[in-house]
Amino acid sequence: MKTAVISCIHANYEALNAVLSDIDAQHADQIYCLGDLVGYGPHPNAVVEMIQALDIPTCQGCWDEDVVEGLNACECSYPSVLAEHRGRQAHEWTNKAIHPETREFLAQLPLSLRHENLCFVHGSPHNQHEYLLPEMDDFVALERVLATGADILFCGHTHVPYVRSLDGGQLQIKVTLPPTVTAHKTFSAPLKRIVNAGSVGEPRHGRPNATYVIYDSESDRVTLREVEYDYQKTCAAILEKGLPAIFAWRLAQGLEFAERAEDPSHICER
Amino acid sequence: MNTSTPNPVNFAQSQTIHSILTGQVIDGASLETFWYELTHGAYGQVQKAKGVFTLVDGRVLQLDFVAGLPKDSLETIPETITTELPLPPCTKGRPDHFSGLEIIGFNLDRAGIAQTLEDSCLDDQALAYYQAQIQEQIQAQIQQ
Repeated sequence: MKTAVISCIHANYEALNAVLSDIDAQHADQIYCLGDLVGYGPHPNAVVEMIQALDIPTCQGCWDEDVVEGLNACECSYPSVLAEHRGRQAHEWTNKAIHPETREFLAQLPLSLRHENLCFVHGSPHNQHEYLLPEMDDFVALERVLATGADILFCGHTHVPYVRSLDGGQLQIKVTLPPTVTAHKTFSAPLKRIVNAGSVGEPRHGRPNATYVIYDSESDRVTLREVEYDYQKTCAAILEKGLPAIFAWRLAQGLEFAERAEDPSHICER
Repeated sequence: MNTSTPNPVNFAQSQTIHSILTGQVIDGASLETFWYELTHGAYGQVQKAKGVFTLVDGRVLQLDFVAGLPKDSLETIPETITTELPLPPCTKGRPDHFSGLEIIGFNLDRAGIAQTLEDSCLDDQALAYYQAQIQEQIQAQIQQ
């Protein structure tokens, strides 16, 4: 079975359309979405309507949560004063633009999804705001996968796709129960993987192309897909809808609009 | 977003922007983003840009950009040269030494540059917050 995993659409309808066409051409059997349907881009309602219409199982991203709950993340979300200003502008615009039914849909999204030995989250199993970066400490990375009980953990949030295999993992546990009982246990973890799906609507890999992944359970292979689309249409819509012009320039360059991980081990304190 | 490509040797078409930033304090990550955007065409075609900026940690940096240095013959010279100026660091209140920006180029987006600079500089509350942290670090280093 072929499973397509998409993430971080960020209200970029043109990119979503192109990716859905590519998924169709790849004959994927099912699609999962890792959230961040809205934020920064010009078409939040259209993107949500498309996801709803296709009945794509979707978990809630940090932007989806922010639009529902309001901006209440700690200062970790933004790497600079400038990024915070721009993030707030995008949030305020999105907050005004979305329809009540869009907000309702975002509010009811689950934080994680499971399908057989696959788990789907936006940031990490612990928090939508946590970044699972490819250089993250082995032990911490393994813990994040083990916490789900799955063999493959699909995540997004960083906007840079990658596949990380965690094999040969050995864990030692020591439990002390006062006053005298101490138990030691050692066990080996089977092969686990973290797969980051990249971003459909806001790539950060230096090109404007959308990215997503396909997992083939028969061959046990993960394929990273990069899809060209007419990003100039999205740039024009950004300007037309009154979003900051710099968003269009950054999208065309394949740069993040504002957010990126400063401290990958930091977990947002809400 | 400008699409026309003016002749870079036609000085009649060129524009110059000056901005005095004395008293303003910028955070380093914001300056990095702004300078990247400025020198990569986000606000028009910049030929030369020189700026003196006071960072939140008190350092004063001079950034000097010249576009189009031929990379094959001068590849050891980066397009932007960054120099830390030998001034006493300002870690309390607003600095009174000069800081500012001068840009020469074509089709420059004056409003966009101004907006990004404004969004990159710290307001009084944020400045006091960060400077208090820096003061604590300095005190801790002295005690060690």
